[in-house]
Amino acid sequence: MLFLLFEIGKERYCLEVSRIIEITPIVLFKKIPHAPEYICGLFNYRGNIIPVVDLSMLFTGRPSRPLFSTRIVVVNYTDPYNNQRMLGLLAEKATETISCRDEDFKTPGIIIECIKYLGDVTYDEMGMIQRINVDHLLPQEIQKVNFYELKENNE
Amino acid sequence: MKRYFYRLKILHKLMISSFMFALPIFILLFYMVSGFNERIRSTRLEIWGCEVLKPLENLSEELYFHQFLTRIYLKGDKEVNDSILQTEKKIDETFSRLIKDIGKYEKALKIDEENLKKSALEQNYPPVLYNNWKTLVSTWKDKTVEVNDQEHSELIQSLQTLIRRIGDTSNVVLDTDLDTYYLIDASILKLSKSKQRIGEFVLFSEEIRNKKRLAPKDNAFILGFITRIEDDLEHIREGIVTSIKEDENYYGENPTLKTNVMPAFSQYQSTVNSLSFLLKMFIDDPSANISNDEIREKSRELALLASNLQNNSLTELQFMLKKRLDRYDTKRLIALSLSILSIIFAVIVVFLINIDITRPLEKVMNIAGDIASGNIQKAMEQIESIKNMDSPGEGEDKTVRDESVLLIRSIKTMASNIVSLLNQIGRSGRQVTDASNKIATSSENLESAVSEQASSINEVSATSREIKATSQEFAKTMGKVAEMASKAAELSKGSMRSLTNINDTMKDLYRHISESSEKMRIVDEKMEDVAQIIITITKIANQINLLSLNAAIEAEKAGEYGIGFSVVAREIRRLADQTALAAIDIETMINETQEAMKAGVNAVEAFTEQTKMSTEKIAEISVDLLAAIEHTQQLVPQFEVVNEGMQMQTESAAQISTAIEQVNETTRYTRELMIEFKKVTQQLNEAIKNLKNEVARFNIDT
Repeated sequence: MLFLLFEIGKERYCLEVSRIIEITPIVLFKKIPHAPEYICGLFNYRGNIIPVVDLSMLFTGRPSRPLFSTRIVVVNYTDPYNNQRMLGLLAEKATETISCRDEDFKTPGIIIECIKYLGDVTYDEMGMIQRINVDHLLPQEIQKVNFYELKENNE
Repeated sequence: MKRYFYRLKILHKLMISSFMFALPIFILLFYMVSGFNERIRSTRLEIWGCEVLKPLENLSEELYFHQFLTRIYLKGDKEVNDSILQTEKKIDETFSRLIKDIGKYEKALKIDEENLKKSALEQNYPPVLYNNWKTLVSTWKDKTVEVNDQEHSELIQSLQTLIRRIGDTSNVVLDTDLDTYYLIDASILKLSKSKQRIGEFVLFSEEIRNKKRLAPKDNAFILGFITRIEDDLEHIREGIVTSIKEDENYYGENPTLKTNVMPAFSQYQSTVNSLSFLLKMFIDDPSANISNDEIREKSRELALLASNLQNNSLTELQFMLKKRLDRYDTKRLIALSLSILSIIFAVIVVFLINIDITRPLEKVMNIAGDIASGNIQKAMEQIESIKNMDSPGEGEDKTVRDESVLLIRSIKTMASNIVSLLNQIGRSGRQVTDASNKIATSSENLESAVSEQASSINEVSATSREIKATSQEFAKTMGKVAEMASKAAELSKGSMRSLTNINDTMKDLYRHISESSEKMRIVDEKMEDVAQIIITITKIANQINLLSLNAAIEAEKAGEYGIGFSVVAREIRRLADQTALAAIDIETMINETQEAMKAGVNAVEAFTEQTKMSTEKIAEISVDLLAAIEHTQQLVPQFEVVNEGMQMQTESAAQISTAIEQVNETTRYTRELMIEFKKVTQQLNEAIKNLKNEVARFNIDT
């Protein structure tokens, strides 16, 4: 399996490539008033309007720096009502991939209820790498708000 | 040093030496008195300790009895209730008296709450113990025999600890005198221990009351008790006997010691002996039919006797200590008053000696003062009066050794010698004066004639000399001015040339600097272009990296078919990374160079500005200087004309002066001779007048 590597603060994380639709350079976002700070805004991806989450803001409370290597990772996302959605993730140093098997990942031995999106851990010569679980990335109440309208439409 | 010494009067010097002697005496006095004070303090502490120990010892004895009675009560014998209440009342009284007494002494004996806390003994503070006792009294009826015993033992143990503590802090155990030492050893240390043992035995006797047969353990306890109590008895006896024997060697004999302590001891001794006899019988011969009650009564009586003996001994001990305290007080008073009296006596003697020396000295000073001011008659009168006062007998007594009397005698001889000398001088002076007066009159006549002639010639001569000197001086000054003017003209020509050179050089410098500044600016612009190119390269490398990432993702999604393509994607990404890295390195270098270039350009521009300003200023200054130099050159010829005229005038003045000088010379010679003669006569006259004045100062009765 292939994983995309990126950094938040000094820590390294990875995301499985099969969930990724495309990696695009950073663009200007349409801001959403009253949204949580880690929601950067909306972004037009090939005609689809999708929300973008700043991972650095979510994890550490500090916004991502505007570097060449800071990129938007467009991923597939399953919402609580089992709808397939697209989501943009803003990540620093998203320039490398790594090839791993599932059994290379070890459980971290600690699961914190409100941050379920941090998954198992693997390592290489540079240090430890933690896997990100995209489906748990947004907190429950935010997910409901995010996709409330869609649910009504389905009914 | 000597200078300061002379500034002081004799009285002051004597005072200083007395003070220097008195200082060590005062220090010794201080140490002596503080030694006495220390002993008095420690004796006082011992008395207070005994005062507090008495009720404490009584308490511990009464507590043992209370424990004994309550045990009987708890085992079912309710008849003892009255005795218990009586004992409790007694203990309450003793406690309240103790707490009242202890308030006075607790600070000195270091058994106040704070000091006890420091030694971790705050549980033994008397009011705390009293509270414990109160709780014990109110609750003992509801408790078992064992718990009651346990609480009593704890209270007694605390009291014993407090007694030992007071023994330490009141210096009682450190006593140095033999009589009190032995009495303390017997009454406080040994007797306390015996009392404790008797108390324990009384309790034990109650324990075995209901036993039909004695266990071997009980026999051993009784035997041990007999041995120990007899052993202690021997120690106590020795202590009391030694104390009575040594008593008369320390601060006099105490008659009450023998009469109060000895009988109490004899009673105690006989009761110990009879109890030990009884106990031995009780163990060895069960058929003797000795009842437990008899033993208990006997041991209870022994406890009371021991208490009585201890009270008596402590009272006697206090008497002895008080006697010692009085003795130290008296000694301190005597030592202090003797020292102070002797110091006062020494001060009086010093004052008397001072008066004896200074009074005659003052008189001699007055006489010498009179002689110096010429009042010899008055001085002689004073000498006569002193002689009459100091030695009314013979005037020339050879045995007198007092320096002041000898001094007055010498002064008298000196005064009479001066009187005769003055008389002789007066007579010779008058003869010389007559002769000298005659010479003076004749010489004065001659001198006035010559003087008139000389003064008229002198006037002419002086006038001509002044004309000559003035014109010479003027000519000299003019010559110097002319010379300086031509030198200035020469120098100013040289500076004119140098100024022109400086101006040219400055202009060249300014041109060169402006050129280099321009070149630096061009290099700086080129560098910025290079930086722009590198940023572009980095952007491209970034794009390639992004492209290859997306390619790798797509290849992964394509699965097996994408493997080849994913290798290509990885290679492209590596190429892009290397390019970006190289570009960043070059960019850093260019940035540094650009910074340096910018600093260089700024510095050169500032320098150019300064050079330009300096050049302009120098040009202005050189114009001013040129004008000044031209003025100087015009002055030189005018000076030379004036100089020549002056020279000619000087020469003619010199010729007149020489002629008059010759006439003057001869007149001066004649006049000098006359003046010389007159001066000699005047000197003679002066000398005689001085001599007369000197003699006249002395008031002689001739």
